[in-house]
Amino acid sequence: MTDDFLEPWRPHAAEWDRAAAQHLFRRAGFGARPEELELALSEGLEATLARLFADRAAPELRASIQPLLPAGELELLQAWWMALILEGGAPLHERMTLVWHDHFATSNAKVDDVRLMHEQNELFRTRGLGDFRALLKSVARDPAMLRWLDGDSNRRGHANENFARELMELFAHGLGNYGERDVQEAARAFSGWGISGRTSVFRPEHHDAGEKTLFGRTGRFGCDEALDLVLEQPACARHVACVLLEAFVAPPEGAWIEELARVIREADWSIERALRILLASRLFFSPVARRARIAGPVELLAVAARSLGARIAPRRAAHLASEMGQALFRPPSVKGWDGGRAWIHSGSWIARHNALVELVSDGATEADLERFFDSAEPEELPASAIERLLPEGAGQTFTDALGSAVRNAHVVSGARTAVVALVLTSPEFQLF
Amino acid sequence: MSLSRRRFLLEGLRVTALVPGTALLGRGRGSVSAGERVLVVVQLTGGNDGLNTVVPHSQDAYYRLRPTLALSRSNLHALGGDHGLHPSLKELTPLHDEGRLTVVQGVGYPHPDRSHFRSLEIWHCADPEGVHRGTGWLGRMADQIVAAAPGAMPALHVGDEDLPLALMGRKVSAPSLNDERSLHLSELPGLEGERTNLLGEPAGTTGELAFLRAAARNAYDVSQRMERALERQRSATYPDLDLARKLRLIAKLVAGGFDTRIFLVTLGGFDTHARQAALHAALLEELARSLHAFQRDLAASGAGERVLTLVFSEFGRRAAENASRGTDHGAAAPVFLLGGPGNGGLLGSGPDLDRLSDGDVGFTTDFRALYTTIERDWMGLEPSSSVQAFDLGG
Amino acid sequence: MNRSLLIPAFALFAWLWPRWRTETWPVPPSPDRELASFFPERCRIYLEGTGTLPLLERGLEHPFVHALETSALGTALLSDLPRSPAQALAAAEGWLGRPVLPLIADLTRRGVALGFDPESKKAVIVARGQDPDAVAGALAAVFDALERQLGWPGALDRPRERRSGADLWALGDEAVVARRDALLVLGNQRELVTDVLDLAAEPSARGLTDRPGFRQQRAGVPPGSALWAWLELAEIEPHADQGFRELRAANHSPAVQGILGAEIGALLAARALSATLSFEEDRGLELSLRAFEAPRLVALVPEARPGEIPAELGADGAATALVYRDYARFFTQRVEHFPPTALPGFAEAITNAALFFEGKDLGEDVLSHLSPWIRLVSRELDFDAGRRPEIPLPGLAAVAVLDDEREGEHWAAAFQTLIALINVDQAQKGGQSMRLHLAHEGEVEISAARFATPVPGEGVDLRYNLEPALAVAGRHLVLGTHLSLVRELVRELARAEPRVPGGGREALEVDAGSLRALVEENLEFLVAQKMLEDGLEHAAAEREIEGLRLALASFAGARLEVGGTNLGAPEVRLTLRLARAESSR
Repeated sequence: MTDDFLEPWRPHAAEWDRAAAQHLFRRAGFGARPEELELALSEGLEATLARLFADRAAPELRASIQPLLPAGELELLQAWWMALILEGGAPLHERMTLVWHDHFATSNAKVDDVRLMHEQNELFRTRGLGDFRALLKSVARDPAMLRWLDGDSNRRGHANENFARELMELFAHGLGNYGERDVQEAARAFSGWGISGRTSVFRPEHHDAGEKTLFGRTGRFGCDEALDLVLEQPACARHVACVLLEAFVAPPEGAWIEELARVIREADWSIERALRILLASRLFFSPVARRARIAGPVELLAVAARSLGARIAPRRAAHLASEMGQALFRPPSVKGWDGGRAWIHSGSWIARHNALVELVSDGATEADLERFFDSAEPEELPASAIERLLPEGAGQTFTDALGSAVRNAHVVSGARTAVVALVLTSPEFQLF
Repeated sequence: MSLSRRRFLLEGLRVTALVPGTALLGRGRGSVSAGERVLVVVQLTGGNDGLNTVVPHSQDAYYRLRPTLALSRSNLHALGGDHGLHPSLKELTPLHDEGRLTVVQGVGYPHPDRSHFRSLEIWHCADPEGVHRGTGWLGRMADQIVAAAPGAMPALHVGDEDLPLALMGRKVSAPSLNDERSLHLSELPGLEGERTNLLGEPAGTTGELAFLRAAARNAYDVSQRMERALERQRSATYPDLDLARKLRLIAKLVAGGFDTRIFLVTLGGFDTHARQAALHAALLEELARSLHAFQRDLAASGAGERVLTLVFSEFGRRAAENASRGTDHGAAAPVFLLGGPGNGGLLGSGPDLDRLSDGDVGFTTDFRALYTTIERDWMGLEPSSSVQAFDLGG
Repeated sequence: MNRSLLIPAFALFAWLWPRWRTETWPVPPSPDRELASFFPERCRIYLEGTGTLPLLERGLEHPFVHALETSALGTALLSDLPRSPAQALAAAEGWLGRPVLPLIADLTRRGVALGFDPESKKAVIVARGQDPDAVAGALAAVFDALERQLGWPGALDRPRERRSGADLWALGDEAVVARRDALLVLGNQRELVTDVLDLAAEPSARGLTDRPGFRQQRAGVPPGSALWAWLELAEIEPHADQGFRELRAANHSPAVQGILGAEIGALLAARALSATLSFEEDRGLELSLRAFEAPRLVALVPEARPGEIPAELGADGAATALVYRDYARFFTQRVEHFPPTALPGFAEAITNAALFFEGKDLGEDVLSHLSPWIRLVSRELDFDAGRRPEIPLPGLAAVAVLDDEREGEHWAAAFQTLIALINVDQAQKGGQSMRLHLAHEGEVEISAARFATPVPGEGVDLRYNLEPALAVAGRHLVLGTHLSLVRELVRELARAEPRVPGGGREALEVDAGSLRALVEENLEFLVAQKMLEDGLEHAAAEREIEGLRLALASFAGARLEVGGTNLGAPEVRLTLRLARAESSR
């Protein structure tokens, strides 16, 4: 990769093809419905990017969770978020929300309050593309986070280091970029926060107002000042760059991290500006980034359903994603979901297979598939499916297998279902 | 020399060199290499009353401390001269007579914690030095297995409770299975053939695609083996009990050649603060009958030598009964091992009821020593703590 | 003729004569013969239209049908359809060439019945008219219409064969239709139809009426009922799925006995069931189930241990019920009634209950002081300011009778201990605890527990529907999910005495209006939930919930009565009352 990998990619008409557009939609959002893909191809890269950044979640859908919150059922909250992902109309925002949910991983298993989890989720949605510094400061005060990492029992003389440690190790710096002393002093700076009812409150009497030494600086730091110091460290911008690169591109290399970190700082920590550069860059569209990630359960289901133009009940989709190993609002630990190869083992592969087969046989109607294939003849189905679902192409054995399935099917509708099922459950499809 | 035999010799040599006195080759169990061995952990949740499970009937103090709960000697099943098993553990006596039941007494840890959550956490994490934050001993073993064989499903939780901490690893989060139906592949008719062709790998594929293809092939293979294993007629009949149902599923998976090596099931209800007698008897009966059927099933399918079953509880109960004809949270208690190395019998030091520590039976064996033996000598993996292994004899 | 041939010839003649006679000169089946005698024994499910004639004759003018049509739900459903029922009937008449309902009435004037064989999953219908010519003419009209529709003129003019005195036509691959005088037989399995015809030809054949219990149950059907069904559950079981089998075994499940009771449990496990459906003019309908050879757990039925009945309570509210549940015997006689797998559960319950009841045995020392008759009440609740849940639910309370007023103290103490233990458990998990307090209603002391009042503006969760309370008013023990309901009941029971044993009948009464109000209160929640569960758009979800609301608005209520008749057989009667047209919007 040459040095200008973050320079904008300016494709010729032929280069802005289905594969490139699919790549963008699958990474920056959750795939594209057939009509969205056609629109993107005709509009071009810049317009498509602009649209992705401009879209906002449908207000009625976003507010539809309100009557459900009093029931306190996490499954309803999971279903609601799935609904926003599947048809909320703002895929980039939802993708970013998911990235932050994985990054600042907070589990309802300990928080045990659906309203608080919802509040945190909305925090990611509203501030996820804004100034990272503001986001970090909001997260530090978020009631769900306080409860999750024992921030609400961090008091003067009785410090709880949980949040300070996870902040440095996981949220902001990464291992090896801070010392034990830094953790202890930061913990003192974060003391005094608690939860009253469902709001965070700061109680000065519980705050350790003494002098602290953090990253070589001394002062009577409070929460925000400590966070400013954390953000100042070069490791922080690099860490955020890593997060974005892993989420959107591929497991990051040193040079990319440095460059993107610089971009983030120059953009005044605006995630949106950094992302606009990253998603338009040559790196993003280069071969090293294409098909480089094993899809996680939520994105797999969402992309599959949207690519087919099929509907799947949000509650069922959330349940299937949990079975596949990604239960929204219940990450296994504060490290979030490891992702990549960790998504795959025999049990989870079978769960994926079953979920996708269910999508094809129950979720997609005959009319949906007919529309998807544009009334193609049976012989054309394999090529059509590969073109629409695997634009990066597939080998001859793959095409032959699809052809054989078509010949064995008795009716056209059976052939369509068979072809789609084979493609969706293939390893090729699960690489986004 | 065939590959497998060479492998077993090397494995056997490596292990025997580390632990003198452990004759893994002794009773024909050496034909199973460490890489094929399975560990089944049965957790008795609530705090099993060890004193009424393995009764020190020759100590007068037993009858003095438990006026209504003490079990009379004539009803017990003899376990050495001074101890006897609870009457409801009748179905374990044949296993004991065959030398397949090992009872290790006085298992616990220093500074016993009487909170269910905390003590379970201690047993699950086995992390006295606080090094492995947030992971459990079984999860750490699973991490090692996966590092050597990516795409495997090394550990499995059978039951519908939340995933226990013991199974959480750094890399691996074991799936939970309550029902064999979850591993059943739902397929549109007639696609198996095409699918196999589709997974046919052209030369030169590397990276993530190759990994996925291998994982997919493995998963479909596992599922097929699972279906065949389920179809096979089982000769052993299991009692109609919840624990038995879960153990039967495990037996099917093991006999069917599943690649999972670590299983965890729980049996709850042992927190008997009041009117203990009837409930404890019912629970121990469920335990004994289920384990007996499980062992018979494994033996019938030839997997008996491969499987070690560990039965533990997060603590025992106090030596004296309380005013409600029950017992309160205690400390050390006996642990059962079925199968595995050794010749069975009663190991460790029994409780000395005249020298109780604060009303509790003190611990004489650190449970992490047992873990080390299991991790290193049975499973052939790196142990998580540095506590010395416990000698299971042999 | 050679004499030696005479006897064999005579023997041959004697053997041939009845068959020849039947075929050539068939004896018409007697018009009064029971319809069920035409059905082979393998029809384990039998449905007879005992009173369908009035329905057919009055058609849309029948009071019940009219009431349904004009009900809230009926009006809504019909407005969705392209044609009104009257128009649909007119169209059918056009197709047939004759008015439809009178035609069916002619065909079934002397009875109509359906038999279903669960093994082959095939069915056969027998219709008996009054006048053979009228029946023949009706059948011809139908055949003509079919021929015109399918474009096969003349295909059905001639019967395919003749058997047992009847003409048979084949319709398609499997269906067969046969006519013998005024008898019409229609089935989707040839064998079934021919079996019926053979039985019809044999005057002394008894068919289904020979089945044990059939005659007796048929005789017990009240005149004027519209439909009667006979289900031989024991014979259906081998051909049914696992769920059905589990249902049959449920009689010995503590959960079924504890919730549904001994009578319903026995009903499920009965050898056969007899079901009757009747319309009460325009007021409603009644479904009654009677069991034949039902294995009642005799120790758990009202006759076994009569007890005092709690005093009557006000009838307003979403639901009221009076049930007989001898929970004491559940525990003391558990070995006799329940399977071994259920016993550990009992042992655990006794152990846990001992914690609250000062170490006493739950069955012998605690529940035995309670009369097995329990009144259940569900009413809308009065919530205190700032504590009204955003999803308000009706409260539920149970009233039982103690044999000694002083027993009440043990229950109050047990309640308080239970709350304290729950709080300890919650504290370990970091959850919310409930504050115990005492309230008074008149001279009666009420033990109650409540969560801390929520901070204003922070939302009132579902759990605020729960403010458990327990009170002992005289010898009445009252336990409820909410203090306000317990207070109300204590007030009503202030001067009341329990009723003496005898004459109690288990019954459940549900008020549809209250349920409808519940749906209306929680409309937004239900719609939002439906959108997520079924993936529907807002409008579609709204329509479905509105359908539910209209269905509830169309009914005034329902009543379920349980109890044996003089025959001692378990019986269940369900009555659905239609709402008056004016009050149902």
